[in-house]
Formats: sequence, structure tokens, C-alpha cells
Amino acid sequence: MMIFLETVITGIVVGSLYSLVALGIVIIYKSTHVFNFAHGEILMLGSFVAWTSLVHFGIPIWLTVPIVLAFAILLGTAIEYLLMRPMVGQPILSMIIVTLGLGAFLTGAGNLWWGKEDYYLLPEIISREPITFAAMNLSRQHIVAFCLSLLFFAVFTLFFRYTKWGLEMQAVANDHQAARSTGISTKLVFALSWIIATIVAIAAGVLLGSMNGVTLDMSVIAIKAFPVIILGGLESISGVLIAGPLVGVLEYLAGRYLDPYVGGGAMDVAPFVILILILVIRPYGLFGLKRIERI
Amino acid sequence: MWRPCGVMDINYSQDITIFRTGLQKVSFLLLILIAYICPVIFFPENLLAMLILMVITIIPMQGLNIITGFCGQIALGQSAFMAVGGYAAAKLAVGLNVPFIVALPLSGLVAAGIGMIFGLPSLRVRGFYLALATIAAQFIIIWGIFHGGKFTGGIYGLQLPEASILGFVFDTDVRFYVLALTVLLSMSFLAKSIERSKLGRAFIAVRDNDLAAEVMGINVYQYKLLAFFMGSFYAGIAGALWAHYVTVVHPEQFSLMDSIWYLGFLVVGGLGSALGPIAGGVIFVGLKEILATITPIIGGMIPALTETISASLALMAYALVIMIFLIFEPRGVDHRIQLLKTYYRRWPFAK
Repeated sequence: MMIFLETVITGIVVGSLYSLVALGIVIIYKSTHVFNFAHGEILMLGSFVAWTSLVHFGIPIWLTVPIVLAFAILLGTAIEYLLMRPMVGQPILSMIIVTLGLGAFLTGAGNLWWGKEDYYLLPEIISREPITFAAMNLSRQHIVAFCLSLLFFAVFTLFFRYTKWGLEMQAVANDHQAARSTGISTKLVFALSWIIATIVAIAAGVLLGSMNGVTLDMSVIAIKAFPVIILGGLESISGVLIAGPLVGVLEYLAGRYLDPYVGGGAMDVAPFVILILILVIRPYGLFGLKRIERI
Repeated sequence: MWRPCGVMDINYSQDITIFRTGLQKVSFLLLILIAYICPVIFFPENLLAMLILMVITIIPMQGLNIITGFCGQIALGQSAFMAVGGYAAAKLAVGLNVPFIVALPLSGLVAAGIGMIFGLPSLRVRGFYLALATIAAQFIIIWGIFHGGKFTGGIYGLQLPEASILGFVFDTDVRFYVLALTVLLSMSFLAKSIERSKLGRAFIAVRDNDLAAEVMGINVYQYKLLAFFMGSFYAGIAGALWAHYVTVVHPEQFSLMDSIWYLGFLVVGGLGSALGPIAGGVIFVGLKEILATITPIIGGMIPALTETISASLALMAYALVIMIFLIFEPRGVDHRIQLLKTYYRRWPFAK
């Protein structure tokens, strides 16, 4: 029973990291209707920038934050301006391939500068010492991720509901043309959502990097976050918040109880099996808009 | 296809023939002859290896062209289906001693069956969702191969012999090139035949408007699965060829990145045309070859990047080519060629 409980709690806190990663993809989808397959690579690149600033140049953390923010604004705007704006109105297939291509490009760019070593350790922003709680060991980073995803959830729910920009983003997502005719600058809104998503990605990336070091293949976490997004319903922030821990728990339970039968590694494949099952059983997820879509 | 003035189709069989005039037949035969003879006589080994790689890249792209180009479904697991074909070939050749000529289509069929299973989500979802489902297929298949124990050889992969037909062993690059080109030609003929028959027209109807297709009496579900079946069949054939060429199969030979490049360069070549996969494959492998020559030179000039440049430059160059094509010519090379042809035909009367 104790093992079960520990597995579940670990799953919940690890899953909240998935929520954090998924949040960035959902924000972009909500306002631009583009599924960003390059999110993991943006996360990876941002974490490398944070590492370079913190460790390589030894810049203190209060100065690193604005540097990383500036990088996020630059990258987000560049993606929107150079890649997404010319692609407006293209079929979904082109959007998929262009973001996949962007991901490959960013991986190449990251590898060019940081490909020499396997991993780069971030300084201990948060202590690596695990917290012992009722005889269970929980890593502090995971708990911070859990709190951070709760915080982001609150902030973005309020942002989308009450601020001018948030409402504009929703309006643009709802109807491009109508939003423009009411005087909303769609360009600004698109750029803004890419910038916000980039910032969220980098926050998740730095957290992840402080656990296992910054590596080139940390972008895989975005692929693991795909089932979370689908289960949450693609455009629902609260859905992602709930789906993340849910997928995390399923993943860890699979790892704990199925590994002996499949010869290990059940954790790696469980998210993808979950993804396919969700798509076949309930494609619009838990909280997604149930559209009557022609198949 | 261009034809001289006055050659008109007056019945359906004329409409679906591949070559309508004698000139087309002759020029095509000449092209095939050149493709067979030139490389065998004039090309050095390393160029032949590139041509073989081109052929083995074009075949899965033709399959992808059926799934994505004609039927409008997205498949990002093509290289995993290639892996299935490769492993099926290895199993058939080593364990069961099936002769190559039987094993090749059989491994295609095995891949086709697996592909159809992973095409099942296409019955419920499409667009981004389907892309995600096929990415999941890629991971599940490769995971299955890694954890297959003795059956798939796990991380060690499987060995298999060189291809041979009736005692004739395709052990040199020249011999294998002839074999691969023959397979490519038959697969191209199959693809063209699918395109011009009832099947291809049904696929196109499903792609353009599935609701209208259903109203016309096309069983949309059945045709979607059929598209996945055929597309994966191509991947399986290519995987089996590849396995017999390098005589070892390993799960790391078939990565998600390859699946992405196949789809990306199919768009570069031109979706939904017979020429598209061929142009895409030639550009992809050609670019690979060019990069392999120039990266050491660039790496030598910038000492700081020598270690990392080869992997990086390839990724960035492929991605750039795909992104530039998507932005400036989303209809691909094929469309450019058609424009050139029209220009040539109408010159000097129209632009």
C-alpha cells in the first residue's frame, strides 16, 4: 500500500511538470490554432541560454532572468514573424511540418554550440536534497514544478478571463476576421502568445535542467506531454492541469506494476499507449470543446 | 501529361493509360535504359551507394504520398513501418529460410498489417490529432523492437544475409543497384496504377471532401485504412531492401527524425503527384551527400565547431529547405516543373 501511495504521489508531482510543458503548447493553440511541435526544442534552447548565462558567464540570477526574458521575446517574435506569419491560411499539414522543421532546426542550432558534452549542470537554484514526507522521498524540484504549474494555471486563467490581451487572444482564436474588424491587432496577439509560450517553456526547462542537467534531448519531454494535451482537451488550461498528474500517475503505475511483465521500460511507452487510447476512445479529451467534426 | 495537338481521349481506357503517344513511350524507355546502364558503367562505388540510398528513400516516400498526398491522412511513423519491414525480412530470411523473392513482398505485407492497425485512429481523428497518433506509433513500434528480447534482438539488432534470387547473390553495389532500381520501377508502376484507377480517385475524393465522398458511395473508413495499408506496404518493402543492403537491422536505424524528413521532403517534391516523391527523395539524398562533402571543410575553417558541425549542419539544412519550400512554394518542385513545361510549350506566345 505504501509503495502504491508513493508511486501515485511521485506520478502526480512528475505529471505536474508535464502540465507545465503542455501549458505552453495549449497557449499557442488557444490563440493561433497551431499545434507547436517545436515546443520541446524551444524549451531546450532556452535552458541552454539560461545555463550559459548562469554558469558559463557567471551572471547572477537576478540579471539572468531579464536576459532569458529578452531571449524569449526575441525567439518568440522571430518565430512568429519569420515562420508563422507567411504560413497563415496554409493547410494543417503544412503547419505540422513547419513546426516539426523548426524543431529540427533548433535542435541543430543547440547542438552546434552545446553539442560537445552530454549534459550541463545548472547550479542548485533549488536544493537537490529530497524532502522526506511521511516516509516518502519527494524531490524538491518536482514540488516546485507542482506549485509553479498551479501558479501559472491561476495566472493564465485570470489573464485569459480579465485582461485586455487575454480577451484579445481568445477573440482572435475564435474568429480571426471578426477580431480584426473590431480593431484587435492580430499580429500583436500572435507574437504575444508565442512569447508567453516561450517564457513558460523556458521556466519548465530550467526546472527540468536543475533536476537532470540541461541536455540536448530534454526536448523529449514535450513529446511525453502530448498525451497530457490530448487528455486535457487541447485548448483547456484547467484540463492540462488535471491531465498532467493523471498521465504522470498512469505512467508511474505502469512502470511499477507492468515492468516485470514486459522486461522493463514500460514507463517510456505508457504515455504513447495512453495517447492512442485517448484518441480512439475520447478524442476531444476531458475538457475540450466537443466539436462535431467531419472525420 | 503534355501531348501533341489533336490527340484526344475518346474513351475511359485511353484516359487512364500512362503513355498516350509513341514519343512518350520511347522517351520513357530511353530514360529507364539510361537509369540502368549509366550508373552501372560509369559511376564509382560511392556514387552508386548514394543512388541506392536514393532509391530506398524514394520508395517509402511514394507510400507516404499515397497516405498523405492522395488520401490526405498524416503519417509520421513511416520509418517505424520501414523497421517492421526490415525486421520481417530478417526473420523470414534467417529463421524460416524463405527465398528473397517471396520474402520481399511478405515483409511488405507484414508492415502493411501493422501500419493498418496504427492507421485506426484516422477513423476518429485527423489533423494534429492524427499526427500525434502516428508519432505515438513510431515510439511504440521502436520501443517494441528494443524490448522484443530474443525475437527482435533488442539493442543488438539482427543479422541477415545478402539478397539472392535463384542463386544469384546481389553482393556488390552494382548488382544491388540493379535490384533496387527494378523494385523502384515496379513500385512506381503500382503507385501510378493506384493513382489512375478507381482506388486513387476514391482516395482523392476522401482527401478533398470526405463528406462528399461518402455521399458518392465511397466507404471512407475502408479507404482510409486501405491507404494506410498501401503506404505501409511501401515502407515495408523499402525496409526489407535496406535490411538486405546493409545486412543488419537495428532499431536506431529508423528514427522519428527520418519519418519527419520523409514527410517534409515529400512536400518539397510535391504532394499528390507521381513525380513528387522522386524529386523529394533525390533532393533529400543529394543534399545529404553535398553536406557530407562540405561540412568537413566548414568545420576546418571554424575550429570551435569542428566536433559538432556535422550533425548540426545536416539538421539545420534539411529543416531550412523544408521551411523555405513551405513558405515560398508549398506545392513543391513538381509544380515548378509543370510551370516550366507550360512556359516551354507556350513560348513565345505567353508567359
